[in-house]
Amino acid sequence: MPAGNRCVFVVEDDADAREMLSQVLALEGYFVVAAANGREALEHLRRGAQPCVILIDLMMPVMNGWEFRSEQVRDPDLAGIPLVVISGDGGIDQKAASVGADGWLRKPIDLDTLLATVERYR
Amino acid sequence: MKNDVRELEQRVQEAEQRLRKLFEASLEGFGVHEGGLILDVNDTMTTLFGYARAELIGRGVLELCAPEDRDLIAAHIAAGDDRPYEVRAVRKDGSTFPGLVRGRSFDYGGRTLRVTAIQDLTEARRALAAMRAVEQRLQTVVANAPIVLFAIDAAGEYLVCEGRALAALGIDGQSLVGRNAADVWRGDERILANVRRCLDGEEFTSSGPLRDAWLETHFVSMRDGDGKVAGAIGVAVDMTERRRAEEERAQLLAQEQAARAAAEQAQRRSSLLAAASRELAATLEYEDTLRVVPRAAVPAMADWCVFDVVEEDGTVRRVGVVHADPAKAALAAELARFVPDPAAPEGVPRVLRSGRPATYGGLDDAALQPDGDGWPPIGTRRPEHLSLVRALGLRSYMCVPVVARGRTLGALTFVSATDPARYGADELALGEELAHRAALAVDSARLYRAAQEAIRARDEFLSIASHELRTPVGSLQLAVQSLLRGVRTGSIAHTPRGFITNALETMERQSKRLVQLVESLLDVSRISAERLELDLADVDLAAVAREVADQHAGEAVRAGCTLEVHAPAAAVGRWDRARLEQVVSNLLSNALKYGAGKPVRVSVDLAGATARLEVRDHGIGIPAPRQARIFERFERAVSSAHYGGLGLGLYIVRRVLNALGGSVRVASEPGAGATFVVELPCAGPPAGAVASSPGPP
Repeated sequence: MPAGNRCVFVVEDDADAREMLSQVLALEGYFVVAAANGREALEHLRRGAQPCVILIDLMMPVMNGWEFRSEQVRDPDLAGIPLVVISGDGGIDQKAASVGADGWLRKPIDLDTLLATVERYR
Repeated sequence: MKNDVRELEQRVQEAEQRLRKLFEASLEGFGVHEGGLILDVNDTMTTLFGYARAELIGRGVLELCAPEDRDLIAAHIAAGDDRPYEVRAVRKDGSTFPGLVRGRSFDYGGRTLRVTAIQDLTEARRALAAMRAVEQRLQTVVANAPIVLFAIDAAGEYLVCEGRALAALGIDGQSLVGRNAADVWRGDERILANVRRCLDGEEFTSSGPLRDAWLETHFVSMRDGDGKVAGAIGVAVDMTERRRAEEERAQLLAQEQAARAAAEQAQRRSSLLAAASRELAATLEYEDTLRVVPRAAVPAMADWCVFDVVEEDGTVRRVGVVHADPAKAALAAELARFVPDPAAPEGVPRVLRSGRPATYGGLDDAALQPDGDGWPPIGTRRPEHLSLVRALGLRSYMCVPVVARGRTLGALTFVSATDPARYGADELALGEELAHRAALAVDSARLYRAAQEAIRARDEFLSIASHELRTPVGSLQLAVQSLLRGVRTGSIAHTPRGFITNALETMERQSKRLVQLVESLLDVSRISAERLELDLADVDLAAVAREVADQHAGEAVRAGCTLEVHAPAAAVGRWDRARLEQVVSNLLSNALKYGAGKPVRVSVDLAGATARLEVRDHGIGIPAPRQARIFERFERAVSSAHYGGLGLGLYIVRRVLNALGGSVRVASEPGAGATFVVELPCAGPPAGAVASSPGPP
């Protein structure tokens, strides 16, 4: 298995979606940290986790994707971590741009596209 | 002696000469005849008849007149008659002339002589005829002119009264002659005063009525040689027709002026209404529309205008106060802070209550003072509100309701700061017309706003529905693609069994989720179209609660919730089991979603003939302002940026419970969780309500 940072954050409130994403990435050899909302993700990051990319849903309870992003960019240690928005909404490209994301994946996510995207940030 | 005789003879001769000269100098023709034969004539006689003196002397007198007059002359001579008479005299040339003859017989030394004087009447006759003609003409003129010509003497007695105008007055002019004006016009002070004035020597013109006519009379005094008033002449002209024509003309003029004023008023109305319509049509935005309305009325219809609007929740809001005087704009803005007092018997509250207009006039500052427990004639008795109204100025006002589709949307108040009687029927009609247009505009703006909100809710719903559908499809697709990839590459042989099982279970769950989502969407469609069909049977709500809780056990675990069911006794009623399951499931899903990580409790009990279900969570709770709306379609307690879901669950719950004759309510405080309470009559829905959905959609 090639070297590089193989830690990926999956931030998604839907338990099934979160689990499925985590499992397929794990199956491909990634180390996945799953969080149910932005607050949990932020806590993992602040405990020292350093993902190569954060896959994040925007609509979530407790702390949504927008709120997470503004916390992230405020923290110089975290601001540089690439962010990819995952969403089933229309206008995902605009939403991704609104949070200054590095990319976006539209639900339902194609497995090859998912793997190719994550691969880019490794 | 001889000298005496001579002297006597000389005297006689002189006397005879003097007589002769007198005889000759006379302007009348003189002749002396005896027994009808002419003895002597004077020169005038010769001139009159064209004979020489010698030719006349010795000629018979009868030859000098026309044969038909000769008997008359002979009779006068024979009788010695000395009265004058007329004959037709014949000149020497045969021509004739009228002559006035007078003869006198006298004794001359025993002889009877007769002296005859003759006067040519030709000129006198001609003058008389001319005078008669003039008189005739005058008579004709006076008799035919549309006037009355009258003369009275100094004592007031009528001398003359003529003229065609008399006929119209029904007066016989001749009958007045000889009568005194004071008797004729007794009781008519105007005429008697005129008579006195003209007999006092005044010249003047007076006009006034007499019987059915209208006379204009010019009075002139008659004076004698000494300048004393000898009487008066009056010429009265019958002005009845002219006066009638003038009156008609004045009437026509008045009518034309009235028509012009009406046309101007109509023009003013239509241009005001057109301008208002233009302004109202310029916007569909609700708040803009509200601001335009009072502006349209000022200054054409009011010194200041107020628009009070009844909002959809029934509260009254003062949305605009416009004053014609820019100096009072700040005061007017101040007035917008005050709303009318709903308890006031008059003014805006009255109009809003009755839906009928009201006008008030004759007001002054005294009428706009606080009056203890009483009410001034406007919609408030607050001293500071009244003082503001006094400062703005109010002498009269009208208040008209703004009504559309049978609903009173507000009231427009038009105020005159100076005129105590500004608002009559015309102004009221105009005010109502303006209010009508305002009502249409406000109603349209509200409908537009509602449509905009509906469109916004729909768009949001579509976005959420898309999200909600894509999430399970996403999990499903990833699971399928992952397994497929393993199968195609052969790596499936090394794939951990746990992953395969998990993937297949995820696929099953997502399929069910998708079916549920589609069911929810179909339900909304059915419920909205009022096609909710109920399959009524005896159902135990306690059993339903337990079963649904069991179905949600996995979900509860994933949400980190403990799920407790407290349903010790059966609660059986005539309900639709599947729908009841849906109600409990929706409430439970919400509790697990919004109360994640905290305990959730479901309880069922029976209170008399009513079954009660409570679902309690300890989650984020619902702010009070949103509690009433969460049972509406596409509504949610919190922003969709935090929580997914179609926003249909509670809407479906409410509609199903309404259809079953029950109800749902929520008690919640933000941060302290929410308790949903369902109450259902065990008897089931009221008769006739089955298979349709009672209550508002």
